[in-house]
Amino acid sequence: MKTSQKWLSNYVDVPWSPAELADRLTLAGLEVEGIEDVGAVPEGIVVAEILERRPHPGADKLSLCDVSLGDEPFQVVCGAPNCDAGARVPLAPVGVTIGDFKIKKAKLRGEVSYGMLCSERELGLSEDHEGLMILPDDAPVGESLLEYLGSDTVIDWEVTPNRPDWLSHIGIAREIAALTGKPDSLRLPPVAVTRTDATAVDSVVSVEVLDPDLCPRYTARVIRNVTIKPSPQWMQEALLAVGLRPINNVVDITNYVLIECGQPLHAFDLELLSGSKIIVRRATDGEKLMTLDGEEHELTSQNLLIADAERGVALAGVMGGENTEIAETTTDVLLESAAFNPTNIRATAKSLGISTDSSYRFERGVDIEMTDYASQRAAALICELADGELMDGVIDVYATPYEPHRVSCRTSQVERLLGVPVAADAIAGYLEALGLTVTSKSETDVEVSIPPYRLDLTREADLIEEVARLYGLNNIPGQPAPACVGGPMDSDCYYPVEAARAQLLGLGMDEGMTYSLLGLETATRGTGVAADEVVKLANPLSSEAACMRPSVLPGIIQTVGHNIAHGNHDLELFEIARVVAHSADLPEERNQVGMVLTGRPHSERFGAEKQQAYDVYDMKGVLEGLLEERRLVGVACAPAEHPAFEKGASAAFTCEGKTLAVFGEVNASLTADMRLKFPLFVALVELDAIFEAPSSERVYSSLPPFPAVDRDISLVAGKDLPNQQILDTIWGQKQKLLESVELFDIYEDEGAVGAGKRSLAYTLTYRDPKKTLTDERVNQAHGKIRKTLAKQLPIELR
Amino acid sequence: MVKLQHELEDALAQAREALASAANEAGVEECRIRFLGRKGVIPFLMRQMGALSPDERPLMGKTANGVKQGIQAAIDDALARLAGDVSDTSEALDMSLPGRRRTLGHKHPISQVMDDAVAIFRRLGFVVADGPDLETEYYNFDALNTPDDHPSRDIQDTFYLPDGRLLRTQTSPVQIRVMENQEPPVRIICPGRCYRRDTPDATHSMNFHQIEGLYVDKNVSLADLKGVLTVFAHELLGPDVELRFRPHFFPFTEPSIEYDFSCIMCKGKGCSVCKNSGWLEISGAGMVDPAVFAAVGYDPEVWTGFAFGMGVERIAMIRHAISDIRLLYENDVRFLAQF
Repeated sequence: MKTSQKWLSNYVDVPWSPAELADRLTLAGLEVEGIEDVGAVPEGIVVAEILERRPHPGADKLSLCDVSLGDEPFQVVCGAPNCDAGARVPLAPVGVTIGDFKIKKAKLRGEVSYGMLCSERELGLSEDHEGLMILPDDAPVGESLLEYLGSDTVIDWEVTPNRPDWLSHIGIAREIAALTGKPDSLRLPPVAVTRTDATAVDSVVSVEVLDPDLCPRYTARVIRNVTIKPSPQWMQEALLAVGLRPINNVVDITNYVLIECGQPLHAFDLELLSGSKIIVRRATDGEKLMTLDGEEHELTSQNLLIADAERGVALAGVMGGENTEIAETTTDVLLESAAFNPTNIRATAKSLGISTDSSYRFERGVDIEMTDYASQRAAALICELADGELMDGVIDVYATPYEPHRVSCRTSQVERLLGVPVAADAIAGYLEALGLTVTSKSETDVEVSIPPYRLDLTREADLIEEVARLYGLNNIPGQPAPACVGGPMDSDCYYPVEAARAQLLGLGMDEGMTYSLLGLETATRGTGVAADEVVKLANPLSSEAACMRPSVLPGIIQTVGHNIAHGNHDLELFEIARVVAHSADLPEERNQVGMVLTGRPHSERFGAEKQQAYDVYDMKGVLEGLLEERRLVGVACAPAEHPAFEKGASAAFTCEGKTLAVFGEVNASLTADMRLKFPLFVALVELDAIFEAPSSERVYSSLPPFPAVDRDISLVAGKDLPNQQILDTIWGQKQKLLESVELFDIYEDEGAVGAGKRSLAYTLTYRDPKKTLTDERVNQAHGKIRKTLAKQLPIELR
Repeated sequence: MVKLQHELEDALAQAREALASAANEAGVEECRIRFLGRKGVIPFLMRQMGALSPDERPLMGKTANGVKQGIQAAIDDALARLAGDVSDTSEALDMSLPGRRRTLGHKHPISQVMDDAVAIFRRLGFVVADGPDLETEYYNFDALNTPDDHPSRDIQDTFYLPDGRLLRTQTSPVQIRVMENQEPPVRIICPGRCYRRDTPDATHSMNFHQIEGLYVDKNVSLADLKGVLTVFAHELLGPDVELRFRPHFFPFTEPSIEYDFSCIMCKGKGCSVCKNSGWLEISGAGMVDPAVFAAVGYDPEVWTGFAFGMGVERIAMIRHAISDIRLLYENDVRFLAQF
C-alpha cells in the first residue's frame, strides 16, 4: 500500500516529516517497505523565458537563445528542437549541480553559454528527453522550479492481513490522527453534488442480489451525460504517485476513490447493460467472461458474477468485463460500490490467477459502512470532473445492516499480558483514539463497541494489543524472567546431538550442512534405499528438489564433489542430518551422521609424511573413537556389503543385531564425475542407534600392583585368514592370566613365507592381579595358546 | 729406578695436559694410543721394569698402575667433558618447521548459532524439545489458529506430501506437541529445520533453521518476553545490542510483535546491512493467543505465555557478514574453516 504525503494531508495534519512519519507508524505496526521522493527537481533550477531564438552560426543542431529571468537577458546555447521564443522552460544557471554535473560558463562551438535549459529527464522527472520541459505560460519567471512544482514523498507500507483498514489514505490518516491523540482531526472529503438529474435512479435501473451471503451489500448510482476525457493533472499525478496508470476521468475517479477510501468501485457503461439491470449471482458452470485485461475466463458456480439481464458483465470484486467497459463514447455511467464475501473473492482470485487492487481489498474485508460514502464521493467527482449529472437517490441492497458488537477488557488482564499497569481511563483513551466507542467503563473494566472497519477486534486480547500499540511497546520495561531450573537433562533431546558434534569436531573433522530436498535419482543413488521408500513431495518446486533425503550419503557426496571441483582435496568432514524414509524396520525420521575422509592428514608437513593419504583404517579409527566414548557393550565390526562402497572394502559396526555404522571406500560409480586425487572414505552412522545401544557403567577397577610379562607369537597363515579370527581363537581359550593381545607386525613376502600367505606377529601380555608371575606359569599358559592356535587354525607357528 | 719413576710421572702430566685440551673424541683416542696403546709411552716404560731388581719391581709396578689409572681417569674426564658439550657443537633443531597439527574441526555457523542459543536459553531454565519434520496440517496450522484460507497454507508456499501431511514451515508445531503432553509451567526452545516453497536465491532457501521458544506460567507478560530476548541479544551479540518491539500480526499470538536488534555493524547509525534503519529485523513473537491455549486445553484465565521465533541462518549471516545463504549449504572447506 502506497501513500502520497500530499494526498494524506487532505485528510489529516501530519505533524511529522516523512521520515518521522515512517518511524512512528513502524512502531505502530505499519512497516515501511520504501520511501521515495517524487517530483523533486534539483535545487537552484529556475523558471526562465526564452525571448529570442537564433541559429548557431557554427552548428546546425544548436540554437542560440536569449533567456530572461525577469531582468537583463543572457545567451544560452541549446540543442533541443523546441527552444522556441516565448516558451517558459527550466534553466540550470551557472554554478548549479545536476546529478554529478556542475554547470559552468562554457563556449560551445565558439558561442558563450550561461547555463543549460533542461528536459524532464535531466531534472529526474521522467524519461522524456525529446525536448525541453515546457512549463505553463503562467509559470513565474525567475522563481525556483522546486517551489513552483512542489514535491511529494511516497511511502510504501507493508500492511499485515489483519488490518485491511490500512489499505487506504483515509485509513492511514485515521491511524495518524489516533497517534497524535486527536482522533477528531480526521477530515473526510465532501460529497455534495451540484449537478443533478431529478429522475429517480430506481426508475431507470434495478439491482437484484441472488446471493446475499456472497454480497452483503450492493449500491448503484447513475451519472448521466458524462464527457469521457483525461482526468485533471492533479488526479493523474496522485494516481501516478501511488503506481496507478491514468486511463480516463471516470476510471481514474474509481481508482482514486479506491485508494482514498479503500472501497473498490466499478463503473459500467449503462447503455451496454442489457435490460438496465444488475443481477448479482453465482456463475453457471462453464459460463465465460472476458475481463478488462482481454483474458477470457471459464467460470464455475464458485465464482460470483455481476450480470445484466443476459450475461456476465463483471467478475465480482475482481475485475470488470470488457463488454460494458467505459469508453470514449460512454455517456451514462452506472457506479457500483459493494461489499463481497472475502473468502469467496480470495477463492475466485486464486483459482483464476488474478490479483487486482480490488480483489486484494475484498479478500481482506472492506468497511461495509464505507460502501455508500465511497459511492457518493465518486459520484460527486464524476459530476465535477466529467460534467455528469447525478440521478436522484441510490439503489442500496443491504439486507443486514452492520450492528456493532461489543468487546470488553479488564485492567487486570492488561497488566497480566503487558506486565505494566494501565488505568481504565488510559485504556479508554487509547481505544477512543482509534475510533472505538466506549460503551461502559469502571475502574476494572472498559467496554467498547467496534466500528465496521475494525472487524479484527473480537476478543479481549485483541483490545489489549491495541492498548499495547498506543501505550508503546517500547515503553514496556524488560524484566528478566524469574529463575527456574529447567526440566531433567535427559528430557532435553539436544544433549546427545551436541555431544556427538563436539566429539567429531574434537576428532578434527569440519561440520557441513546440506539440503534436505533432492531429486529422486540423486537421493537414492548408492544409498540402498528403494525409490518407493523415499518420501516424495506432492508439489515440488523442481525435479531436483522433489523428495526428502533418505540418507545423508547424497549430500556428502555432493559436498565432496563441490570441494574436489574447487581444488580442495584434503577433506575431513561430517554432517549430522535428519533423514526420512518409509522403511519397514526403521523410524520414519532418524538422525544420521555422514563422515568423509580423503586426502592427506598432514599436508602441512613435508616429505613422505606429507604424501601419506588417509586409508580405510583411519575411518575405522574415527568410528572406534566415536563408539569407545559411548562405552557400548557388544559392538562388533565385520565386513559388510553396501552399495555405497567398493566390494571388499567396507565393513559395518553392529550391536545386538542393529547396524551402528557402515564405512568403506566409496564406490567409484558415485565419484565418476570427480577428479579425485586420493581414495575417498565415507562412514554412515546411525546416531539414534548409538544413543539407544546398551552402554556399560563406568566403575573403577583397581590398577594392577604386579608386573606384566610379555610373550610374542609369530605365525604364518593364508592371507584370507582374518586377524579377528586369530584374536578370537586366542581369547576363546579364556586364559585367566592373559591381559591383552596386540598385533605388532604383518609381513608378506613370497620368498620368505610362501605365496598367498602372510606372517602375523602378536604380543600377548600376561598378568596375575594377585602376585608376581613366574616364568613357569606364563610358559604354561602361553604354550597352551600356541598349541590351540596350531590345532584350530590353518597356520604354521614360527 | 728413580729415573723411571720420574718418566712415568712426567708421562701422566703430559697425558693430562693433552687430554684436557683434546677438542674431540678423536683427539682423546689419539692420546690413549700415544700413552696407553701397545706401542705407547706407558707400556714402553713398563717394559723397562724388567731391568730392575726384584725388590724394586713391586713398588715401581704400583707406581705404573697408578699412572695408568690416572691417564684412564683423564681419558674418561675428557670424554665426559666432550659428551657434555653436545649442545655447543652439534646442530640445533629447526623449530620453524611445521608442527604435526592436531586441530579441532570447524563447527558450522548454523550450529554455532543453535548451540549458543541453546546454551543461553538453558541458563534461563529452558529445555530443548523436538518434533518431526513431516508434520500434519493440524500441528503446523490448525492448532496454531491459522485460518483455513490463510495464504501460508497455499501449495505455492508449503510443501505437501501425497498423504496430506506437510514439511513443517516453522518450529511452532513443537509448541503444540509439548503443551498437549505437559501441564504448565512450560519453558522450551525448539531448534530445528523448516521448509518453505521459496525459489532459492541469496536470502531464500527451501530449507532453513528456526529456533522457537515458549514460556507458559502464571502471569507471564510481554515484559518477561522483553527481558528474556534482551538477555539473549546481549549474550549472543554483545552487551551494546538494543532490542526493539514493533506491533505485528501472527495468528498464534495476540498481542503479536516483531523484534529488532540494533545493527551490530554500524551500532545503530545506519549502514547497508540494516538498510540505513539502524535496526536488524530478527523475527516475530508475542503472547500466546487464547485460541492456541484452547487447542491444547490450557485455561487462558490461569495461564499466560509468550512464544518467539528466530531464523538461524539470518542470525548467522548477520554475525559473520555472510551475504548469500547458499554459501551455508555448499560446505566449501575454505568457507567452513573461517568460522
